[in-house]
Amino acid sequence: MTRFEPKIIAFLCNWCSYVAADAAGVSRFVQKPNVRVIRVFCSGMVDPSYVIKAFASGADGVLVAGCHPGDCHYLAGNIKALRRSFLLRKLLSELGVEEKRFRLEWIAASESPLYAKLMNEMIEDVRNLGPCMPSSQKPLKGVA
Amino acid sequence: MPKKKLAVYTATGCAACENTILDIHYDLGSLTRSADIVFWPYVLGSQWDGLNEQGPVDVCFFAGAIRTEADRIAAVRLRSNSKLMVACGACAAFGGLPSLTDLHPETPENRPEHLDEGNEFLLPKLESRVFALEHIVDVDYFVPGCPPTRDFLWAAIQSLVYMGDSPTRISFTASRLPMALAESITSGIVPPRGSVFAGEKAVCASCSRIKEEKKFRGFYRPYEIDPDSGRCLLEQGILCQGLATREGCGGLCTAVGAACRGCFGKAEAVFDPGAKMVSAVSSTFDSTEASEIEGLTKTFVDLAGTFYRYTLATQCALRTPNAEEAKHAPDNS
Amino acid sequence: MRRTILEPLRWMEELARVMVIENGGPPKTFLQVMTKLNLSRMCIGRPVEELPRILTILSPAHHLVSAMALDSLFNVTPPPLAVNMRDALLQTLFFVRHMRKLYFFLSSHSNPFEDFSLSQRNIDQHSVPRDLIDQIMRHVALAQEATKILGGRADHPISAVPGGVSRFLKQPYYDRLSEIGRSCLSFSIKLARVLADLKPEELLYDFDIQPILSLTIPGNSNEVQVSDSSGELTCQFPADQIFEKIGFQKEPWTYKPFAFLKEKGWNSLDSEKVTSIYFVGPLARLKSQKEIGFPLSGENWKSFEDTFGSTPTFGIANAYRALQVEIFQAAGRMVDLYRQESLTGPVIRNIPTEIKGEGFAAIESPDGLIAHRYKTDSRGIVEEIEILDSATQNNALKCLIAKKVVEESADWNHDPKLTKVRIEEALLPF
Ligand code: SF4
Ligand code: SF4
Ligand code: SF4
Ligand code: FES
Repeated sequence: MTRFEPKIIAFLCNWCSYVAADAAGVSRFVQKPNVRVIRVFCSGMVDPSYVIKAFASGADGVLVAGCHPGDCHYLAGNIKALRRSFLLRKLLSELGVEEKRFRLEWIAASESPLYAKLMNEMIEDVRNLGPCMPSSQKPLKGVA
Repeated sequence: MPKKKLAVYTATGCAACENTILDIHYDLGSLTRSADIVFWPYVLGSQWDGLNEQGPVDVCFFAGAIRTEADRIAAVRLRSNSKLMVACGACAAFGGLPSLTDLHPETPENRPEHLDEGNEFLLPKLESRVFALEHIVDVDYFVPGCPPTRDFLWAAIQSLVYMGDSPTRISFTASRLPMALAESITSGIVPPRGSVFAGEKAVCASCSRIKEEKKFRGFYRPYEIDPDSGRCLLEQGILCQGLATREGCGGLCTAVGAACRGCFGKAEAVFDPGAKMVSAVSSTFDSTEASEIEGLTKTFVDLAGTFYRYTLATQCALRTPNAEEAKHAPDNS
Repeated sequence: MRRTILEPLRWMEELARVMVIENGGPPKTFLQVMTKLNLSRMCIGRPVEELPRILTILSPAHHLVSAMALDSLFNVTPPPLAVNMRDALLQTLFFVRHMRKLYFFLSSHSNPFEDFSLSQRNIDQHSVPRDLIDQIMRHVALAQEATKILGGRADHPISAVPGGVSRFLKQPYYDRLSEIGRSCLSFSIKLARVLADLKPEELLYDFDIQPILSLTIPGNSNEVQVSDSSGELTCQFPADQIFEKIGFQKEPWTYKPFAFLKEKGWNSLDSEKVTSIYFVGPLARLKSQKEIGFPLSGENWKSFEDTFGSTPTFGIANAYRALQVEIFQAAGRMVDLYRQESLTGPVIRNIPTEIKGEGFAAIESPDGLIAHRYKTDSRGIVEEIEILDSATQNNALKCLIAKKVVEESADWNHDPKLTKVRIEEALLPF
């Protein structure tokens, strides 16, 4: 059997995590084929519907990464992202998307090793969970 | 002008959708001054053979979700006999309350059983999941609501059946309809295919409760507090789905002090009602502290069963069936 | 083997049909309900306070019984205003439901939609005055307006909440309600006269049904009474034991289970004497009522009693009369409850302070006794529900009626359409 290669969508903030990811890519820290990067202007821009859409279109995991608290270029976009993340994770898990498939992280521009570490960790977690197919073939968890 | 022919049918749902059509009939004195109802099993006992003999139906109002093989066959037959197919009510339009069954883990005890194993009694098999009408056949128009309000059902009948030429004893609020729809009704032309007989914006736009853009620290279950009558329920800490829901009812539930649960389906601009509610609700959390926010989140229960109460089958992006699933009738196993 | 299918049956809340199987010997008749809503799967995992809004899918009266089960689950007593408002809604539901049935019945042979020129079914032997049908329609529409005022929405009400109702009425509604109430009452008096002249037994294929038990909750009591076919009380038990007393039998030919009294054991519907099945609803209530609360003067009631005799026999025409009696009673109660005094008060709801984890309620709904029982975890998330609806309880009776019609009509085969009409008309009032 061939090894399952999870598809991870990463929404990365233009000012920080995207820079980190770029550097990580240059130094080959990350297994590139697993990750599709989407550059956003602020983690606060990543509406829950983007995340849900990513899963619905076949992502096995979604990472949203932004600047550390206090460093957001739009004052508190990252806090906005933080507020949403818990409720979103809960909704996702009720719909059969396990908690580990969705992560919100703070990664500064200089932290490319951290980016690589988190990403590799996530790829492994998601690989262990297997493909995400939150459609009807899969029993749902339902309850809160 | 020859009279239009009308069909009405309910698959798996309840009788309230059909009763709403009957209520219009009662209120008008008669529904059939400019149309003939040629097929309505519930009231006329119409038989399927009769449907074929009778020639094409102009408009079919189909209520109820697709739960059994018989529902599927009925949908296909009525579609092929009807010029216009209208999904009437939340069940037909979005899967409705019956689709809630698909939110629950399937265990041997609660798996729907098919009792007639040997098929001796030709009892229709249950489908693998609950489908909305549009998963099975093409749908031309939607009249949402559980049950639809008389106003919009009447608007649909007026525009599709009477073509504007009707006894208007029931008024409807044309101002709540999207412009294109309202115009086509008043001028007697068929509205654009795919139209939804309801508003475009969100329920909040017509809800009489006042919003003050308040933040708050705690959420309540509806039984825990008696909300103030004039203020937005969401801002008083009660989960209300008016923000994500298509307008049209005029805030029927919120006017009575109950929160909206989204029986009109999602508003036009919303991608997924759950996602919309997550962002709306979390933006009201008055905290910047991760652990505090996490604690607040824990007080919420059954998000999926609330946000997709009536729409799980079609509007939950993570749960819409793929074309393969919808195509297959249940097998014999 | 030959299968004949009579379908679809009119006026059934779910898709249903009758299948007759002939295999030498006497024909076998099966009443088939063709679909099922898996209610427990719909409700388990939901916050329990949402159930009144979900379970209205069964019928509007289930909204009310569900709210009452929540009263008990949360251990709250609704204030008098809320009790009255719920009761006013319930009475209005009786009125609407029964009137709709009469409308169907009286227009059964003609065409319920006036201009229906393509109809084949215009074999109108009995003429029902068109005007009467129009008036029934008008009053259903009126009463529906009242259900909307009281329940928030007409067919799926939302206003009942644990511990009360969700809002006060506004001033203009009181006037409108009393107008509606008066109009419904005076029409129901008129209706009784007209129907007495029409003689339901002559409008339909009337027959007596084999004697079976009936279940009712009389008045405001909390006791379920089991009566035999002559109206005599055979036993009674506290309502909250109902789920212990009643079993459900599943048969392969229908999705609807059969309710029966557990202690007597399930009898197959083919047995000579069926001792464990029972029925519920207007006729059952009428038969077990010793005294009928009535908004009429003594004289009117007298003429009524004359038509009925003291205990109405267990037959189809009498089932229609029972509807009519209840329309009366409901209209009288509506006038009473719609008065502003009944629907005003300082509080509309009491806020629960505890979750008992188990809730129960049973009421008489238009179609008969219904009961709900819920179990929840400590947060009030539903873990288990049990529901007794009138369709399940009358399922056995309805099968027997269908069987009887087929057996009695020697010619059922020659004119299956007529047989179907007879079955439909016989099932409607239950
Ligand atoms: S949409 Fe609501 S009213 Fe219509 S059939 Fe479904 S449950 Fe009944
Ligand atoms: S959230 Fe609910 S209560 Fe608030 S304005 Fe919108 S519909 Fe009205
Ligand atoms: S307020 Fe919401 S749930 Fe109530 S009728 Fe309107 S759309 Fe439906
Ligand atoms: S700018 Fe980076 S998270 Fe807002």
